[in-house]
Amino acid sequence: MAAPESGDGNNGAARMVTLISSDNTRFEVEAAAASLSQTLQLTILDGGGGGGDGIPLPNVDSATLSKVLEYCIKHAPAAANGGAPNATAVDRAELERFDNEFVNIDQSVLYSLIMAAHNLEIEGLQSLVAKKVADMIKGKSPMEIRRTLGFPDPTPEEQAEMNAHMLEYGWAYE
Amino acid sequence: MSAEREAARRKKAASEGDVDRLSALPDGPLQTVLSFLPSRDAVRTSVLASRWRNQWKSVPAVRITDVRRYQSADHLNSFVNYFLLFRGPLPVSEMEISGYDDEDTAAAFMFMEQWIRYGLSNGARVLHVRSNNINERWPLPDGLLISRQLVRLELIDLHVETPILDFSSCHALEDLRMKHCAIKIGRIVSPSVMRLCITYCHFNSNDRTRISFPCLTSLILADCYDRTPVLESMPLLASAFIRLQTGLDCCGKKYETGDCGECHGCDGSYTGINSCILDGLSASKSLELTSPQTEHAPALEKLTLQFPKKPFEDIVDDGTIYDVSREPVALEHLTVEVKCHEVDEKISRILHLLECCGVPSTKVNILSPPELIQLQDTEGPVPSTSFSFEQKKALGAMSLDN
Repeated sequence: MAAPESGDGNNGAARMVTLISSDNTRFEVEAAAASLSQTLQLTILDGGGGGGDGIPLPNVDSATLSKVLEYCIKHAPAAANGGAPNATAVDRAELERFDNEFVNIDQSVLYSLIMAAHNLEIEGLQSLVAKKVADMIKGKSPMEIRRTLGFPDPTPEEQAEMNAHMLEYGWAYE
Repeated sequence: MSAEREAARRKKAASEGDVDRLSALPDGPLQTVLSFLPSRDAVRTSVLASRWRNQWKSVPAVRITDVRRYQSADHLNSFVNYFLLFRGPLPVSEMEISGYDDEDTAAAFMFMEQWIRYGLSNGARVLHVRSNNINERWPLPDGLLISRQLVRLELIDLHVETPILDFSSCHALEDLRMKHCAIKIGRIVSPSVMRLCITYCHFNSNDRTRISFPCLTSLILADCYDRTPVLESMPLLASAFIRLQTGLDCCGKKYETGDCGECHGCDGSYTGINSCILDGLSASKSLELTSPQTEHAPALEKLTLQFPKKPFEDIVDDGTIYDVSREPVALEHLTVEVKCHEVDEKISRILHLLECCGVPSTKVNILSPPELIQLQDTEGPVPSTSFSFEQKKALGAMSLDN
């Protein structure tokens, strides 16, 4: 993924930091975007990640990191605005459109994103992806959920266990 | 399916890497996923596999939102009571409670108070309460909302009747939203709330509700009915959106810039504070707006007046003159946008009024057609007469160019 262009001269060049994925791909990104990660924020505030150094992220592969940064870059301006209480309806609608499209991806990518957002402590992204997975579960029967999430069909023992459990939790299945 | 074939299938699926990866997540992320589910769906995941068996109990959210999927109010009540009993006193971060839309309102509202007490006593920081009943709004019990942890509160469709709704004991409360509520309150007080949003609410038809939120930085007051409230001093206010839809901002004597102090519903003792809504915002104290983000204390910079196509007699009354000397407003930094379909006699009078107030016509920009401002809401924008206050974000030169 191409790193975003640095500030185009309006306020001077924005500060850039370099992040290094587990498979050694380097990503140059504005410090403001990377700072959406609570984990990275302190390092960046301390001046880390600049120049040739780079911050290694051994738990995040390049495909996932590229997706994570796509989110951070899009959300950084609103976050800088203090949660954007003054954002216009148009800005909000645009972010919402972006978010909806952003999570329209394979389940395997969703789970990688959940882990990355968890490790990097990017609150908005954690919620966004968790919400998407929750929507896949919402209102479905246990069997439908198993199919949706790619669980293997239950063995007879598992089926018996499920039945016993459903009896015990009758109040939630009435 | 034979055990061997099943094992082979599982191995193949596992090697493809997409089987049950959700179960493989650590507790933290798994709980985050479950926290977005209605509570009954969260409980039902316990049957999926042993990994999920007890996860639902420690999910820090209680969400009773899928009420239409229950057969009756009793059915819903039975589930929630079991759920909270089995869950026990584990921490709650967020609680969302919706009543059941049942003609039998006694059954529909029977346990609302207990559920909210459960959430608050287990540390809820965010609380959403909705009556969700077509026949009646749930009457909020006096003194129920007391919590040191509560940060965000949303009340939808409730009936709140009390002389004083006092959030002084909710030290952490920052966000208050009220929507579709009947607000029969003499005074709402909070020393901590920073963001207030009141939309589609019914105030008293005669008396004004006084809103005392000295720490407010952001205010939305839009599309409410009956007497507009009195806004007390808000020295930190940075942005406000006010839309007078069907609310009356004039008293029985059609004293359009506030209360006359004489007729029923007007309170003569507050003339020093100024009691009409516009004055509440533009009284000089509020106009010297200070924004916590900038050291340069910006004053009110832009006023947008937006007019509907249809007549608006209520707003510009016959022959009333705005007495600047009696009700001073500091407008030297103000630029004005007037959005209207045509500049008719009434608009002209408003322009004249602005000029009398010290806003020269060079600082007034007339735009057409009006742009409707969409509130954060699913309902579409409503054409209306509106006042919108914006504050300039930074140092940029004052200009009418957009």
